Amino acid sequence: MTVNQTRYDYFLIWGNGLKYTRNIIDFIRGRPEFDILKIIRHKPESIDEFVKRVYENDAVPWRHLVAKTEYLLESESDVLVIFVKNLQPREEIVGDEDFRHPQCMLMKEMKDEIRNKYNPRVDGRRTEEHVIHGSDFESQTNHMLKLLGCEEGLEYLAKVPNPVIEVPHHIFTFDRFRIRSVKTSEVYCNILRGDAEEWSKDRLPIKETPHYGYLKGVREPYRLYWKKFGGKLLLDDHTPEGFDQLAGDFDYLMPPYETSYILVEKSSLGGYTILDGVHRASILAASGVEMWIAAVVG
Amino acid sequence: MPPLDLHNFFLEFQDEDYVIIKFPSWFPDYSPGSDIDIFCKDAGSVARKILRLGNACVADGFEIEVTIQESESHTFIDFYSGEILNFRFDLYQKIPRYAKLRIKSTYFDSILKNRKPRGAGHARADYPLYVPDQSDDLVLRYIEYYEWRHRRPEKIRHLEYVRRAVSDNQVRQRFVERLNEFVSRIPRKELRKHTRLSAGLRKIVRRLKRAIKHSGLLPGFLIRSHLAGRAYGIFVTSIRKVLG
Repeated sequence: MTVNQTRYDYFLIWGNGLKYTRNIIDFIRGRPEFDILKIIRHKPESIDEFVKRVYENDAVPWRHLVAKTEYLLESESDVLVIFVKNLQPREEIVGDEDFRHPQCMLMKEMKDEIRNKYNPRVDGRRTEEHVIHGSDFESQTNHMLKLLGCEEGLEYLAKVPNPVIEVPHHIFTFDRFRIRSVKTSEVYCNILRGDAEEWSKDRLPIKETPHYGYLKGVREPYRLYWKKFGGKLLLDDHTPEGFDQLAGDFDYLMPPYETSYILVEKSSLGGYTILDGVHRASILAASGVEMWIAAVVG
Repeated sequence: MPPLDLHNFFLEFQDEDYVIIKFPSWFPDYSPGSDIDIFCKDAGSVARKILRLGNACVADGFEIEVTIQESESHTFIDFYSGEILNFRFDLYQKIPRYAKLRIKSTYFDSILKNRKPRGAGHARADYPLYVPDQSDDLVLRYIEYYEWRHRRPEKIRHLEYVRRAVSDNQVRQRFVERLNEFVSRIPRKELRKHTRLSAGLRKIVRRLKRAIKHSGLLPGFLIRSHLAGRAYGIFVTSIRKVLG
């Protein structure tokens, strides 16, 4: 068995499992071995073609998979891909002769557990119509990212925008920033309007965002916001359940998150615009904190 | 706004592989605008520790500016009081690049490996501060003098410091060994690339050399070897100055 430090993996929820999305994401989030990095909703033009492309990087040749994946052709042409950082991969070489390939036993256990719970059942027994697929080895994650249009592949997930502070990989790289106190009233958020196909951004004060409203008990606008944009334009793990969990545990800049600053940018319109941390800023505002520490770029 | 308590920061670095370069005589009672140079194995980790403690300083009114340069090998962490620089941590993760001297990159690890603890003289907790071995301290001070001697005359203080220290024969021998092992003069051809002569002036010099060559007054190789000899001579003379 090979023990790597970390690696990138993905889980793919097929159309027949989308109704369990919330439970599946919660299950993955609940496992300390995984950090959810990205959630991407994808509606392929042809599910037939997409299934073939997914499996073209499999250790087992496609001809052996045709029968096993036939049920997918009947399912909705709609999938959700969850990219994770696997913090404790357990790789083993499995399979015989031509089919020998490395596989992460942790990923296998996760897939089995999800399939046992959510695969359709006939006469009380689990069928092999899997609701979930997942990577066996890291290059499959690279392949999946490219398949979804992310040409950088693994580099996209591995990108470190700044070597000193914790910032999600989708932020541009920067080599200068200032840590300073900012007032809730001078900070604005870019909030999406419209729908996933036709959208625009509104710059709103924190206290006018659906995020703030959600924390203050007006929950429906944020649920709707996530439903419209989650996995399509909002790719971080901010389901309403994830937001509840964040708000419940939140203690800004306390160990071990002392350098996980809310990242803001000076705006030509005055004040600051949040680049990363709208949820955290909303929690601070909803708790009545009027001034807090931020990392300012630009 | 009270000054930073530098002891708190260096207590936090205890587990880091670091050395304070050219240990300042004022430590820990700095005056505004001071800086401290630190070589460290993992500048990101040291920087995060500074920020962890820095968060409390920001709450007290400081602002902290972090600048990362030269492919992440050099990080400044500046504490500002208003717009005035109060204190700078200057973190290096590699040997800095010098225009006039070539330093082997392995020297950086060797300095960290040979580091020595010294008491922090802190009333509350007697923790170690790490500094380079004496011979490395002298080499680093000598490099600093040699690099800046024409533009920053005050750097002569480093040469004087080295001269005082090498009056001891053992110290002198170790200093020369470390200098020979890791430091060399940048060859003239490469040095010329960094010269501050303008393109126009270089052109004039080239023409002049060609004219002298063609006039038959001096053979070309003699001119070249004369210039190379001069550059080498300056380096050797400056070491001789140190060694007396």
